[in-house]
Amino acid sequence: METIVFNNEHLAIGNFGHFAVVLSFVASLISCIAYALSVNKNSQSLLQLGKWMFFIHTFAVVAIFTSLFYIIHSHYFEYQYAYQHSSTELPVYYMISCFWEGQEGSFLLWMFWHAVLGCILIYKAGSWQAPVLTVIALAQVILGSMLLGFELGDFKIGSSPFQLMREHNPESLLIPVLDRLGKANYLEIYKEGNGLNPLLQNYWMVIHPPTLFFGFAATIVPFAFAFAGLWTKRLKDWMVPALPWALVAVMVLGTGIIMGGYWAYESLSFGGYWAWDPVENASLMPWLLLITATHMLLINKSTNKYPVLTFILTIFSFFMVLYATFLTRSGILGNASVHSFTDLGLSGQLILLLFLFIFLTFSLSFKKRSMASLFFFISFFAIMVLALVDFKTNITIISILGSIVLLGSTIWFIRNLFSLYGTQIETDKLYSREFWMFVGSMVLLLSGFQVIIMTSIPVFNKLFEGSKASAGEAYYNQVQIWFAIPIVILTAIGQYFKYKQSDVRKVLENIANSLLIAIAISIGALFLFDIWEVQFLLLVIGSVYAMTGNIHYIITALKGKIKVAGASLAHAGFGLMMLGVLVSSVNKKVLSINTTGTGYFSETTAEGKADDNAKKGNKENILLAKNRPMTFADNTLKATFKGVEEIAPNKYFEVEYEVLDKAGKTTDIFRLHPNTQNNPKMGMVSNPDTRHYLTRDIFTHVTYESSMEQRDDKEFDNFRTDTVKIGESFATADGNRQLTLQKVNVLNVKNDASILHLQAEVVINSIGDTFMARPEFISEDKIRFKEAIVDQAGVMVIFDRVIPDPENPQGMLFVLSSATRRPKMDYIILKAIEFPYINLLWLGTFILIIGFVLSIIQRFKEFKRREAQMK
Amino acid sequence: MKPVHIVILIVVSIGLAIAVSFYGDTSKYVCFKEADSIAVDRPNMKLHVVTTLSKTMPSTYDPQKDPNYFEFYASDTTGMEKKVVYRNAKPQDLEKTDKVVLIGYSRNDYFEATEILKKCPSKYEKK
Repeated sequence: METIVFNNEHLAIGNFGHFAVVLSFVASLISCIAYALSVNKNSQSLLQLGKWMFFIHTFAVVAIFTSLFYIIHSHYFEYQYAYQHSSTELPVYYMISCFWEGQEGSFLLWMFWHAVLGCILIYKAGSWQAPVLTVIALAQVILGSMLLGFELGDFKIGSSPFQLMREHNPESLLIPVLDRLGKANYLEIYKEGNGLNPLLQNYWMVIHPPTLFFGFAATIVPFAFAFAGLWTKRLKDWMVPALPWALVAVMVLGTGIIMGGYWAYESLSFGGYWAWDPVENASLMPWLLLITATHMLLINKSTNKYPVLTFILTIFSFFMVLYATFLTRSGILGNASVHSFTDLGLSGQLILLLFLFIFLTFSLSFKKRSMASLFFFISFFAIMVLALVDFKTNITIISILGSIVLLGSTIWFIRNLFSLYGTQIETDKLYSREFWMFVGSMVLLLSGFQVIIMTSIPVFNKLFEGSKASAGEAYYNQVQIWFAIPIVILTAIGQYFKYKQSDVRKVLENIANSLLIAIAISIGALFLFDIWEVQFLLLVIGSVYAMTGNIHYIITALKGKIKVAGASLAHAGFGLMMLGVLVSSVNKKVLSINTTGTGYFSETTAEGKADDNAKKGNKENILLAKNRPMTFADNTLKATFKGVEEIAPNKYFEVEYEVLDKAGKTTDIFRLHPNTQNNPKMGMVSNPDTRHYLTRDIFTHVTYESSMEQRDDKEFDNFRTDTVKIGESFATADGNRQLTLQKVNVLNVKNDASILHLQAEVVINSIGDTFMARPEFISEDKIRFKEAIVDQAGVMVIFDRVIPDPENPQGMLFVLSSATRRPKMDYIILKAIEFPYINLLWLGTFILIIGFVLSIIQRFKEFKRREAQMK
Repeated sequence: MKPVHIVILIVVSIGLAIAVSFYGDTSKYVCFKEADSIAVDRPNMKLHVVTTLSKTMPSTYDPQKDPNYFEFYASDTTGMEKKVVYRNAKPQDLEKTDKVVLIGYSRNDYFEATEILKKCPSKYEKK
């Protein structure tokens, strides 16, 4: 084979990057083994080795990051990653976004956060360092393998972010152009990259994914503590250090989720911040489990109750992160989600990652080490064979076998846990905080369970060859509201109780007091929001109660000490958030209800009968012709489409809104600029623009516009001729437009009687709009006509001739011909939605996050004190 | 019975109810023919049909007459072609799509889609 020396390639940086990938992999592997051995042998030197290997690993991860960034920043499009995800026009701050557009970058980001967390834990985990870091290093080994891009025949391990275009796509060297340029100059065809998806070119997209990934990454910490606890048999100790980390993960993941919702609301056109899309659910599932686990950890800290459940929930929230990654990255959600995902051949590795952690944890529950190893090898081997080997037989049978292995192992594991922790369920007093926290946690768990089951439908379909479709938004809302109601109420009730035993009378008194305040406020709120359906009404009262109850508690019980009020503040914020969610979605209103323009197709069936279904159909889009104001939403809004501005790939439509009061007077004027985007990766997408008021948002997007119409300009027809006097009106043949001859101008230039040049001024009234047509009649050597065409009205007027008026010797009559075709106009189809009181949601979220921060600080201090006591 | 037992009992039964409701009334992936037969008994059950757009039959969208009426033809996985009515603005760039998931109801002579999920080929292909 000939060797070609390729010109203009920058191979050094790629080689360096690839070296860093291998280094990070090897270092994490050594670190993991050293740490693991140091746990079993209790050896300081091994611990040191593990620690330094982890530092080297972290250094290597940073090096991978830097070299990839350098490649993107320098526009080295010979690298596949730079070519596919960036372009020369991309501003620097969006180059960071390139990292999460691609698969390899996403895993890299995840690894980066793990590495950062690992380094913090080396210093902060105290006596837990070795076992906790073993877990994190193990995760790094597997994630790192996904970047190796190591090929062994047909078998490929991971895909390298430093792959060259000519390796990625060898056929590109065979394209005809290169016969002329020479293969060595193949880079000539990769002068410009594909660019970052313009949808992601939004400042929220710079911070939302790293936040979400940090949240995902942080779930490994509470898991690692639980794992370490089981491994070193410090069965209850692990909960104290795990608690603040669980809070960190819950807070960051929650913030990431909300940021995603805010981004969707601000820049996507589906009209909302949450749609129960499988991808959104994928991030919610671990969050719900983890928030449940966090509450269980709190119960345990004070009472030592339900340790088994606490353990299970903590580890499963991490498994749920792995499962969610599998769902979103394996392409299994294909038909179910508006987000599309491709199987990049990593599903095998993702399954491996998931089951490795599951069975490793399970095996730790055996008291005898030999039993543990035996269990691990048999069950892990069995599940991997079932999952990855193609048996060419009925999938259902394999799936059932797999489920039996998984379920059986889980049951065995739980049984082992009970024998480790002791089985007795301690008596719980009805008037204790732990009991009500337990009840609340169970509601959270059920809510999470429902989301998990419904989101997993595509997985069940695949496993058992089913044909169930994913549940829609309405279904989730309908079910989840019944979980939301008890949750908000319990946040208010729970804290009045003390752990173990409380003074019943005092508790009930407090509950009653704050409930009365809540009901009083709720009545006002109900009238304001006009929400009366039972479940909504209950949620309004509950949410308000969550606020009043928690604020009441902060003032009376905590005496306003804000440092310890984290939980109460978070709960109050959660109540406000739920109120915002409820009001903005129940009272969400489409403003652009079409009251005209129907009746052509929609209300009759093919047989010409009235179609009842049409009445149910939506009329949520209205047509706005350019410069023609339109009033809608019960005459409270007037919108005018002012024009278009094109800044590729976006097309901005200027819409002027006037807010009208009851008397029709304008109270506010503003302009919105919704746009459509010719997205190279997704086709046309439309992006909204929103006017924010304190109590409501007016959300607007363009669903269609005139330039999308594929029209062939038809010839004029419906000719007719009218003979009229000046000032006289006549109609077109189809009767749709009214024409008036206003005036006739004499345009003779020279004072030459042989030339007659006349111009008629004809006013056209077309569907409420006025246009002017000026046809001309020229009589020179021969007679010529200059017809006037008004496209917006779809009218042509021809000035035929002038004849004397038989009735009036001084007067003249003018013969005008008119013809019509479809009017051609600039218009947009617009949808406007009102979201009332959505600011409650954002404000509530903000308070919730502050509450979390306060709690985290408080719990870290507790852990520090505990570690100090141990010494 | 202790309060905790009652809570556990309730939780387990709700959990079972959720698992069972999974087999209940949620939507299904069907072909047009199945959709027709389901619509006879349960006209209000939302159905999913995986389809490809017809390349030969014309689609109709005339926003100047009615911006909320879009009509086109699509064939399901068995190859059966049917008229689809979508009472909404025409989804942008639908022509460039090869696979479309329709969510809605079967009516007598057409399928009424209330949602259309587009699948752009570019998102599927590995470039």
